[in-house]
Amino acid sequence: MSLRGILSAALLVSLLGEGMPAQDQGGVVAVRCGRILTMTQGPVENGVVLIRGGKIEAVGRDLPIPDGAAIIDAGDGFCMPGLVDAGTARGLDRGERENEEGLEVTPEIRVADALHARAGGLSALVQNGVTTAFAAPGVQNVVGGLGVVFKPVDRSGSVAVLREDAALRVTLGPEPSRGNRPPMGEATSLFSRRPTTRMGVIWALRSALHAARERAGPRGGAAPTEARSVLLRALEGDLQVRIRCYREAEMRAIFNLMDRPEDRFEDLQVVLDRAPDAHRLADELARRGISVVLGPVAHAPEGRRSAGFDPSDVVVPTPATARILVERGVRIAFQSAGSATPDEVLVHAREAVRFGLSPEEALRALTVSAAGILGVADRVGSLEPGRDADLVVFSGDPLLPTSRVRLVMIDGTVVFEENGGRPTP
Amino acid sequence: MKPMRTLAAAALFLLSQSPPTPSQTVAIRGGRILTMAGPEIEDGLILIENGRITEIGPAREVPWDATVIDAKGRVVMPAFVIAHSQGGVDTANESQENVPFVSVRDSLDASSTYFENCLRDGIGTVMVIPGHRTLIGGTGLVVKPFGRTVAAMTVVDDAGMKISIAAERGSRMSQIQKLRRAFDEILEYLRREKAKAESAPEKEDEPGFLSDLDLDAFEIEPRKGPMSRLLSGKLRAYIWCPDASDVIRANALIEAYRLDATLVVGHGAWKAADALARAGRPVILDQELEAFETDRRTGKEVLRVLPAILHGKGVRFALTTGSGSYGSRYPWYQAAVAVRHGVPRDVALRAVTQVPAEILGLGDRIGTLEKGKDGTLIVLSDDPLSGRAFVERMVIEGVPVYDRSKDAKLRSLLTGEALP
Repeated sequence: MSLRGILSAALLVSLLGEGMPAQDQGGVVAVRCGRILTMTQGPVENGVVLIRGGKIEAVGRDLPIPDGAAIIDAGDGFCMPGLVDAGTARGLDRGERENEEGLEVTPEIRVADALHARAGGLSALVQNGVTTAFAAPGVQNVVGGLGVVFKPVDRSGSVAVLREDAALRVTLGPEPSRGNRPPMGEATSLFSRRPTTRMGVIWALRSALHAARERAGPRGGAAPTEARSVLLRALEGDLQVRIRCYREAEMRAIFNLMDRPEDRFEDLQVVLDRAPDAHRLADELARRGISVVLGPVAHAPEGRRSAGFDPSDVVVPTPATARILVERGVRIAFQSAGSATPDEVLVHAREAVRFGLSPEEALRALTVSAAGILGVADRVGSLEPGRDADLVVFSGDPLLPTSRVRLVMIDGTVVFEENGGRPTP
Repeated sequence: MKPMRTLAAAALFLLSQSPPTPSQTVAIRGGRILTMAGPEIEDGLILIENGRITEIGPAREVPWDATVIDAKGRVVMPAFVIAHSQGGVDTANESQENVPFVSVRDSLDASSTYFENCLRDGIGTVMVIPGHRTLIGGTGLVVKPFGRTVAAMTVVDDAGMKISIAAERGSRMSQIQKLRRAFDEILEYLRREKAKAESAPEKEDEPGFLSDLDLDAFEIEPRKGPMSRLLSGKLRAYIWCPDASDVIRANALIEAYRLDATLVVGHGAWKAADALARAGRPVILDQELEAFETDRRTGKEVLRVLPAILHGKGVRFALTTGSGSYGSRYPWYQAAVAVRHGVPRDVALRAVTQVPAEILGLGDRIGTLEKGKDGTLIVLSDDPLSGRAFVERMVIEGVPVYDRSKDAKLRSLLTGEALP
């Protein structure tokens, strides 16, 4: 950023105070930038993003800037849509273990009730360019509950919800059965329960889906419980199912649920979560239109183990997974999941590029593809007229490990700005 | 340092016994050379004879009998040096806390995948030393990631003593007290042994009696050997200081006991940047370079970048690497993180080459590419800070030890196909 850029942006923020809207709802903000990556309409050199009332009004090279518009000069930086973290455990007190105990199938539990804006780690996410994230209940239950798409900013103590009940969390990995003992007598912990094996995990899901369908049939009669109505929506394809899995066998179990004559849950709208083995079934996933949310890339510093379960004893992730999926036509996104690394999704994209994913596809996975998977592509993920004014300015090519975040804006408001390019000592 | 040199020479001898080179001269031809000792050389040539660099400069005709490594369109630089690592050992820490007599030498696994990854990641020299969780943890070993046995890999044996200022159990005050007691016991022991050897009465206060103490002149109990060398300045201490207050206490200990020491600092040490600058010694940084600190009252999360803060205060530092599939595992990534936050490129690259080499006492051999130094280098496919570079070749002391085109495991990672 040029000195002038730093000064003008700093001035703007200092005048308005942090967290204040850059302008009134009707106000106009113009962000000037050396390179604008719109993601859907090609890059713009030395262009302007024009924002009115928190929404993007126009993006272009020679846009007339209205009188009275607040100008943010981002100098020679790279401006792109705010990054989308397609699955984070930040903002939850217990991270990936945020589950209601006592039952292994809890579809009606809503994670939105547990998210709070000032939970640790959300601000770090924003400072690394993330403006939209998905959170779901933890992975200790077979059916964990309902996830939410949100912006990690404080709206009266809560986060800014973008899409409620965005997906149903299901886990077919080893987490729900790990450490369990068959329940005998009084349950003394979460682990005094079934399932105790992976087959038990699959059965818990199958039986829940069958029960929901049967009772909804003509002989069912009674009004469906909330839990059952959630499962029904998933069965009818009205509610996305986000399935945590690791091994090829777990993915095949999902296909079985959709295909086998005795199950035929064929309308399930499945998105795979983590799935480090997904590249082995890339063609099948592409044929079925199943998207994959990859990550984390697992590089927590030594001596500080990431809390919970380490998937590397199940499947060693391949850095080429992202490239292979994209080449075979599978839509992908990245997620931080339980990672302690605040720039997790960006780091993952950089790794994928090092191992052969094209830079364009890596940037799409961070923005427009992720927004598509989360069902919010009409709001975020690209810089085009009508979209929310959520953007991030990097000091250089976002995929270079030497580039840093200079400025982050959500709904037209500057929510982070680096301190003159140097962290304060 | 003398015994170290002898051991290093022994190690060199062992190396010369291992894989024969096709020819005694290796030429790295073409390529952009980052010497780390001066300006870059475009389209350069490096000649290595008998393990040493005999010529470095612009390209010219290559001797007819040289083994040629073509580096055209690539980047040549010194192999990375990591001055503090717990790779290649089964357990980083002994379960007892005061174990100065143990050595990494006895637990290092030459066939560990850590060393295989070192080759793939361009690390040519690494000091493996006990972890942070003890009081006096034992001695480390400088190795190259090449050779079938620990002896063949060893560059410097008993290269440093690991000391931790932060207590794994108990309080900081008891940690310091235990350290002082351990030091004092050895001092007393040495005084007594000296008096015995000289048949003179033991003297209570002998300022500087350690500095000219010849440990070979009298018999030291094996258990007390490493500590005796430490307290007579013949073995360097590597002192783990996770926080700022640990830095202050470590500096006080170093002064009181006249230790030859290098601090290994954690993220919290940023508040002691001034003290580190005053001490003037280069420091080793823990893997975690960026960290968010949360103010409990305001809930504000503020990013602190240790290398950027230290550079701003004029402290020289070496970077270290972590584990995992990507990120801090790579020396170039660590350097890139420093550059991201304003550390000059040259300083960041020296922090994974020249500075750690100097800390390990090997500054005259590795860490830069200059005439007379070891022919220990890497050929990269791209600039180290591009984030896309792979190590194409590694040469250690004139021996080509890694060739990416023959790395089946890396190929399998790139293609996603299983290993044959």
